[in-house]
Amino acid sequence: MDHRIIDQQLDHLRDKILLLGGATEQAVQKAMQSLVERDSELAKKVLDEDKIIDQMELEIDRLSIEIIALQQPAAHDLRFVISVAKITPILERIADHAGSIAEAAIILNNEPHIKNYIDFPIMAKTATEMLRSALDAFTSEDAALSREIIERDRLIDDAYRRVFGELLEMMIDNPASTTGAAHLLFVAKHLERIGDYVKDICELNVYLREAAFIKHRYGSPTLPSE
Amino acid sequence: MLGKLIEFNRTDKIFQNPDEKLTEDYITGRFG
Repeated sequence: MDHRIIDQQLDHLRDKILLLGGATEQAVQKAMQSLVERDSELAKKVLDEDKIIDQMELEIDRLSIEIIALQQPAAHDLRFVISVAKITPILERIADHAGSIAEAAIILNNEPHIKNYIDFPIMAKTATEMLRSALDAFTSEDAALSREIIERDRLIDDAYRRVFGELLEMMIDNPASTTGAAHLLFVAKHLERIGDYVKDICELNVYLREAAFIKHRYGSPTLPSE
Repeated sequence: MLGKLIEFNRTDKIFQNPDEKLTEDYITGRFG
């Protein structure tokens, strides 16, 4: 095995996943901006750029498989390729959620403004910062930072519960706002899912660094009743 | 000339997460 070739390929893979991460971050930021600033043109741009993100995912998939097949990576190299292969679809799904937020923005921009979106920018800012930090932690293989980011997901979950309650009340008090409020509920759910996906990335960062699987160790499992 | 035992463990441990850097360098082809 020529280790120079594998090192080049791993560096290339690293560059690709970081580009994908950057594009995904931008998608989330622009989608939220299009909602808060009522900018439908920006929302359409997010939807167009999602196709580029999809192609980036396919390319990384191809590269990862090629490295495994032709270089048979082991130890840290193997963990790196596996982590990249698992993080890639997560990033693509985050970008899909950004696309769904942009679609909601286009619809909501045609409805009367119904809420100051106070908690939405906070949720989006937290989600975007978590994503950026998770990608930094991936680059530097920082397991401690990754664990800290996982804890921050509670902020998004708490904000989601607040927003859910407020929007339900709004729909009950003012039935005319139901269409708009329902779309905002979906936006809140998309942001909450983005937080969950960032947590998944951090769990993979810990695997990359420590070869430890920490998935499914947070919170109590709910068992089906008999 | 005698060799030196660098590391001894289960196969999956050696190939996924060896403890010794020298082991990692050998199995990833960066050394030897």
